[in-house]
Amino acid sequence: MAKQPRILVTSEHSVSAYHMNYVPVYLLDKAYAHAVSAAGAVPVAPLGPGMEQEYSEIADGLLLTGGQHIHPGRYHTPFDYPDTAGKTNYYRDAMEFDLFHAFRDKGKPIMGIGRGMQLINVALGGSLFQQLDQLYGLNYANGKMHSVSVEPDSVLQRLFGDELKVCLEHNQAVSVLGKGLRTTSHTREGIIESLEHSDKPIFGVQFQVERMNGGSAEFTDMDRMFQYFVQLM
Amino acid sequence: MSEKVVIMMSASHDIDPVRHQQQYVLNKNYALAVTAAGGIPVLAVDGDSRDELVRMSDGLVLTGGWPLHPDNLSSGYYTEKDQQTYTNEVRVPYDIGLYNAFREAGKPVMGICQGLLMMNIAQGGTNRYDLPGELGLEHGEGITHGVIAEEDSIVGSLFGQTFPVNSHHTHYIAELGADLRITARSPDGIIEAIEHTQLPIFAIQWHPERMRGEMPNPPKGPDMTKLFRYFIDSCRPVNKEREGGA
Repeated sequence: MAKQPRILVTSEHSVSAYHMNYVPVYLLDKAYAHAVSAAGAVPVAPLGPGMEQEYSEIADGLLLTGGQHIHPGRYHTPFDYPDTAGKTNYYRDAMEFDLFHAFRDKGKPIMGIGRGMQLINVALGGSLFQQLDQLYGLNYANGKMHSVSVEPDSVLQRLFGDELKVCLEHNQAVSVLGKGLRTTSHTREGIIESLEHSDKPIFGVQFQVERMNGGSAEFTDMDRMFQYFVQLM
Repeated sequence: MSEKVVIMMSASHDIDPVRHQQQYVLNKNYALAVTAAGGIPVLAVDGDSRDELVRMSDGLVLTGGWPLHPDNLSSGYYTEKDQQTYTNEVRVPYDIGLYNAFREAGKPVMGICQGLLMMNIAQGGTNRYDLPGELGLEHGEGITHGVIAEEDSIVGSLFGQTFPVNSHHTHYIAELGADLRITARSPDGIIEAIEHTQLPIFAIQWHPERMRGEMPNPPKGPDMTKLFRYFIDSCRPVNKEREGGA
């Protein structure tokens, strides 16, 4: 049997709960690891900055996960809403941007989910809307179902057809598109929900695909997206 | 191919109290200690793929964790029962599965705190859970105590016959598992370090990852970066057998 692909899955940088003394920790929702395993690959998580070359040799692909906001300095903008500064994490940004460039330079596949898709966009020179609710009165952060229109000739359309039912949990979104990227779906209000690179194995989705599996009638089953990602390796 | 040593780290298993998502958790100081000693740490986030995890790395660190629920061992002493029951159900088979896979491959294993207790279970030993209640001894809350080490042991040769360590446990080894030997004890007789008699496997009951860096505990204890460096050096001989990667 061929070697199973290995996928590096990035994690949240946080502090532990009260009973573990609030020390700095890496945190990863098991749903991400389960989704990668179910698609036939082996997930492992990186544990520190400055090792992106080694990690990009160990692993065959990179999964950039959801979570904290990207520091707006990464797209050369101040905090539009200073009270959101606490939602960023400098160390996580440093690790993940370096990992993105190391995997991209080696031509290895990269998939982004939520924050991960935003990171792909920013790493390729794009920018973000910092607060959808305050800018446009859009509430996309409540975990409710939304309809998303898929654009023709995209990976997403080949996998799922012209329309998706997805669960949204984001209050930031892609503004200016990064270099080499194209939009592949959007909401009724015109917010970008997924993108892909025109000539590299790089794509991202804004919705939490890792929790949209198991064939619920409420949303589109996303297992196929992970299978597609693994087949790129 | 570089000379880098890849170290697999076991994770704690937790449930996010707000979002109720199951999670893997690792204190950053474990990873920092491995990195400072020259290793490349990666987190094991799929215990069922352990053969692949063995193949991609050179050694295993069994990290510490939330105490196991005493139902596994005896009657109730803790109150956060749900957390601990969950830890029992998922972490014991995960850690012991990883340990056995690395041991069978002949790759080095270092156990820290709960990792020492897991290693003892895997080797057929038994642990007890209530040092204060059963023996009237305090080994929790990060207190400092001395240890007395065997001269011909890993910790004895690195740090001398006696040295101070931190202490964060209420569980302890009662009966030692097969093929293990005791290499350090506290002055009150608790087993503080063990080694496998034939394989490159050892464990300590204290937290060496907290005995280095800017705020070491205890403040005047030995710098335990050396212990991680010893472990990573012991992982090098089998390095060439790793398939692919760094």
